[in-house]
Amino acid sequence: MTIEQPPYVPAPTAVSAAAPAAPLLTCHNLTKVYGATVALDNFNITVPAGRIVGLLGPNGSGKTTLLKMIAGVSHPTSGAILVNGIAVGEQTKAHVSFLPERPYFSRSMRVRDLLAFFADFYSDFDLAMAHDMLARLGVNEASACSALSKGTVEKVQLVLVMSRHAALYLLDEPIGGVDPAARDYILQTIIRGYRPGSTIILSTHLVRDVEEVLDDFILLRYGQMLLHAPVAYVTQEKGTTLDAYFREEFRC
Amino acid sequence: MLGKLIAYEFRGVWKPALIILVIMAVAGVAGSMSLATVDALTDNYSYSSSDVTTDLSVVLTLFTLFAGFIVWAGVVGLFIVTVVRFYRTMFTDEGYLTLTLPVSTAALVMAKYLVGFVIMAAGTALAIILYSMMLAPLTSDYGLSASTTILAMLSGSFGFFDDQAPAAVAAGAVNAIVGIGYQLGLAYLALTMGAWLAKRHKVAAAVGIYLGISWLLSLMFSVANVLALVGIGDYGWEMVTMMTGAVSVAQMVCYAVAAAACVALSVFLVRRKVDLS
Repeated sequence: MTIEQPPYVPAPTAVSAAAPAAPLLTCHNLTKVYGATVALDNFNITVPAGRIVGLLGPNGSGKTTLLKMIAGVSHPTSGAILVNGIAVGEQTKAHVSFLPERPYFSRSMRVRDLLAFFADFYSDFDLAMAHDMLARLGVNEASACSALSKGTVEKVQLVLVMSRHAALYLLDEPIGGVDPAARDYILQTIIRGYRPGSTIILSTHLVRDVEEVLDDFILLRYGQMLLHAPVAYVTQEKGTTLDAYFREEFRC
Repeated sequence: MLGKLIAYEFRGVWKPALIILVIMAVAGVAGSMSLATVDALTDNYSYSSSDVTTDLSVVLTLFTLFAGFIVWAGVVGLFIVTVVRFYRTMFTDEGYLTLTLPVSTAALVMAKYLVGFVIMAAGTALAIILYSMMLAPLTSDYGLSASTTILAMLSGSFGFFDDQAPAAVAAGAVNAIVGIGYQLGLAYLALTMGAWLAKRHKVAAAVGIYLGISWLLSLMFSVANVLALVGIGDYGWEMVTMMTGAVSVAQMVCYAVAAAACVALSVFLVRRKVDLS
């Protein structure tokens, strides 16, 4: 398969001159193979601090695989991942806040137990912020997860993840499978939780919903990177929206 | 961080573990009372006793056997509770929470191992006490107290038959502890290997690995025991006890090394090989 690269794509840059010179995230020749399936193929990327990056691609393009490897719950077949210049491991997990696409709580746990758990293990967890966000959501902290609806559990999980003052947030399909009203709440929570200097990588195929909040985007197809560029590249150079560009690129 | 992890592990398993321990205790006490009643009935037995007395003795004896089974099943239940929690919190969706914590993989696995070990040790100790209580009516006929029965069980578990010497009892106790550590370590390794190697039916794969390794080691030591006994010749019972004791020492050392190796290998595989699905 030949991938046509645009003649010139401006590289995503740090948000300001004050941002650290070293990239926040570096993937070098990253490959992940499951049996005969190549989920990610020789993937290279450098993401500076202070960006909101959309990880875009159709189902099976390698988005989740990439996020899981950065989070440290999956292991590359070859290649390297560095977060703040450190290989993925115990140290990087202290700076990475990961939202997987499915709930990971024990159903017997109460919401307040989850808050205590995060406060115990993550020094960057903002308990006051979590209390506030849960109150806005109307979640009773004495409730067991089993008593909450699937959508509420997902929102609680997002609140916990975004209440950390992490350097890198990895959000895997945070708006997939929820109603439009919930989508708005989730995006608002992400924006509210975002702190300048930290980076969010957000995977989705619902491009229209996230387009406005993105600084950069990464297009993935069949485990290969098609493009990594600022959203402005599409809107200004191509004269179209990111959603339209995405639909054109992945037309079946 | 290890202390916090251990505290959370205890919070996660104490309820089901306590329920099982209480069931074991109730069954053990009931079984003990039941056998004591049978003992009293048979002590006063005469040919003029009614059929009701005989029937009651049979029923109570069967109940005692059932109670003994419940106590044994309780130990197995505790084992299942600890290994299921290990699997659920490491390799299912809950693994996303566990494996993204900013703690070392060694601390994660060790916390689960230590808590599982304490629970299993508590269950095993309770089972030994309950069995000695249940057997007390019978052993008292031979002048053995409940505590002597416990000591005999421990030393007997190590191959020192009919010997309640402190060294033999201590060896038996250490052997029991090493046995628990080995079984738990092997179970964790098997589950980790199942999660690593199998695409589907990971638990089934883990059970296969566990049984395979378990049987292989047991077979090895059974052969060693037989060879040792065959090699003794006609040197008497003392020599037999000494040789079985020597094989037991070798077995205990091997199991201790195997337990440590299982835990270390589990840590390595979780850190480097296992991918959450």
